[in-house]
Amino acid sequence: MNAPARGDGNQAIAWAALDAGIGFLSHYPGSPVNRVADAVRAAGGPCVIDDALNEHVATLATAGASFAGARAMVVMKHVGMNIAADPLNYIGLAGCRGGMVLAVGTDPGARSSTGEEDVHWYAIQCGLPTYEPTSIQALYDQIRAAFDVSERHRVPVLVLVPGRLAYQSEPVRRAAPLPPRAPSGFAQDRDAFINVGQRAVTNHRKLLERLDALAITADDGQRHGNPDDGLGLITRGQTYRVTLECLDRLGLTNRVDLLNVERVHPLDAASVVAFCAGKREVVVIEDQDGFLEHVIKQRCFNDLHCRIEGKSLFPAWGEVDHARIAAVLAERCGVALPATPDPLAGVPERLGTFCEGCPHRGSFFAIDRATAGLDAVIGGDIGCSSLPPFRNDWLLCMNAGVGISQGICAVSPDQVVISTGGEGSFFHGGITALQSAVENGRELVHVLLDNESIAMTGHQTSPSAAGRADIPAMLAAIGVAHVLEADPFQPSAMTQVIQRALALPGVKVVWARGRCALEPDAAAEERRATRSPRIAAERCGGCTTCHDELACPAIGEVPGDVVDGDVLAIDLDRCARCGACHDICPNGAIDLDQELARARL
Amino acid sequence: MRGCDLVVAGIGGQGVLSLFDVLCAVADVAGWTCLGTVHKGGAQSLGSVSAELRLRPQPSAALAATIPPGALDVLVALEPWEALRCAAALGPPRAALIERSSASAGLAEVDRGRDPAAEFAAVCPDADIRPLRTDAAARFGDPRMANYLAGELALPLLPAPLRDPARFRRLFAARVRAVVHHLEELPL
Repeated sequence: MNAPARGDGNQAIAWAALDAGIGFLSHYPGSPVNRVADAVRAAGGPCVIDDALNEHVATLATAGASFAGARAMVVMKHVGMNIAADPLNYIGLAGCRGGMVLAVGTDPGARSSTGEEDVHWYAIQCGLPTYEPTSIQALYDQIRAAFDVSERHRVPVLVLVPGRLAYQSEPVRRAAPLPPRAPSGFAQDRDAFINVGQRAVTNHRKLLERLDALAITADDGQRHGNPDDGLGLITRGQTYRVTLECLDRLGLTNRVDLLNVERVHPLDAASVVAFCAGKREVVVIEDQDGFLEHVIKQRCFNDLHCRIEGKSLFPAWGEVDHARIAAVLAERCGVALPATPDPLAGVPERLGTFCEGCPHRGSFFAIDRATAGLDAVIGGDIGCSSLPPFRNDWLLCMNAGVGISQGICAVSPDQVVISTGGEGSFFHGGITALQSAVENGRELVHVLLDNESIAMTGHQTSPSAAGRADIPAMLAAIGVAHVLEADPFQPSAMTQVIQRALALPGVKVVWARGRCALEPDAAAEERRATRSPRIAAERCGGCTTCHDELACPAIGEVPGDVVDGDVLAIDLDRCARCGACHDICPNGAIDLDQELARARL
Repeated sequence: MRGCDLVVAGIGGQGVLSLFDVLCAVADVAGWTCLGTVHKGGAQSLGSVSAELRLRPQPSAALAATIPPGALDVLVALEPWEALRCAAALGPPRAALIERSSASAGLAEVDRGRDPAAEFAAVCPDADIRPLRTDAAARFGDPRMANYLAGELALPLLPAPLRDPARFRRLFAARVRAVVHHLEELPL
């Protein structure tokens, strides 16, 4: 175990939990921490892995394992904390038994999320000790130690893992693994678990007292530079190493005093006050909303005698990068910035598109055709169905499609509204939203995009795969008036299905079933083996429906002859043989089978 | 010995991350320190993907996981728009190996008529711009081997201890099992 092995953030989290003797892991997949469960699963061993359908049940299940004495961890992305917030507010009141750790992936810069919300504030609201590792090794060490902290203070411990850390890669030195402890089983404790009235107030007081006991223990943060300098820098997480490098490149390493805080809540106020003593100025270098600056000022206000700045220098949006930190340091220290190249203008952002063979391509083609000329509102979900982003009228959060749509339908009944959502979202909470629409008598068409996979986050298994969950029966059971099945690889027929749904009363679900192209089943493999699609130039009318409207990336322009110029052709190295282009071509110019085409000629 | 700051860039599905993994392994086997960071979006394929590698002969505490602007030594790009994007963020590299043909997936219509390889050549005149996919198809019978080809061609741009082509090929074959058959009959 002592020889370092290269790993990324997801692996470091998994290895740390395994080496800490974890007995239970629950998760809801979300970038950048979508592969922790895979890494735990790949390691084998007795840890129970729970593939939860949303973060609420994932957190509750993890709490249950902790209450029964097992070391347990729950993994989610930052927006999932909004779903988990209800139980998170109460687990600390009841008190952990086996250590409980939350590994939460954050996304400053919103590289793979609909927002870059700052979830640090849940630390205060829910009473969660919170750690911010600066490196892959630190991530491993902090996750491992977090179980001890959780058991010592009987609270869940939060470790924040930004995307930039989750996707880092470096060698990790692992400690000797602990064996999983045998769970003691759940033991009744009414004083702890029955939180109502005065008992809830008492438990709240006890939680705060436990956090105060942790607060007076020393943080293991790093300190560098010249302790006698009048300028102090305080960092957390990813800004630490960037700041160190900026200082090195500016020749300031021995000029300023730097403190990195690893435990941002509860703050080791004594260390911070000692650091700030004698300083004329302290700059807090952090991204997002300025949580560390806030807690320093809030907890140390009466003991600080220097100027503290942070968010006045570093924006709350985006990532705080080399350029921004170097500019502030150079200005504060009166040194020249090294010349940096002028930024290039006009590099377009690549906003995302459906993969070749994605069933969502045909579904949105059908929605567009079914609503042509109607000025329709298309409600968007998140996940693969939100690529590309402008096929829907909003891109906000899971089940925003079916949720927002029913509010619009209620007050603006003359508007044509079609909501969309993946089957992952359906099981996450969309079924409840649909039942709410039924209970409230809404007139709503919902297109359920079932690709049999929770695809965007790495193809986690969906309950719809292998027919485990009977979606039509579930929809009928909650009172959905009409369930219409459609094949997104036959967009022409699906268009008619949607038009039929629009004409029906009540809540209607168009169940669009089509396998994810990156997880081909036997039928998809058969199509790949036997189809050689081509666009017959002699029949192509140049309408570009396949290229512009269906927008398949496998269809592109290639040089044609001198007379006709560029023509459209199918790149067989990229084509998934789904057949959607063959279906929608108005001129019958796309042949799926070259033998058939030769027979026609 | 001087280190090297390298970026591998492309779009999802081109094997950017496989090449990144192999180059990290090259550094590990050679006893060098390699701090790597992957940047990718939410899409499973066809989205922008880049990976930064900070290669040093010795570990250094004052080394961030991301490359500062103006410090990029080598850029290997499997798609020219992604090469331009990297140059826009970090400045022109000291040396570059770039795929000539662009992939228009996910780009606005107005940008599809531009020539990103030519635009990159304007900011990095010494860049080696070539049809990697076409060359990979000619050499291996599979255009998806462009990432292997790019890595092999980029080895001379790396510090001397990391340039062994036999080691690169061996590590690539170990990492990308699906294409190992392309490498078995290759003469060195």
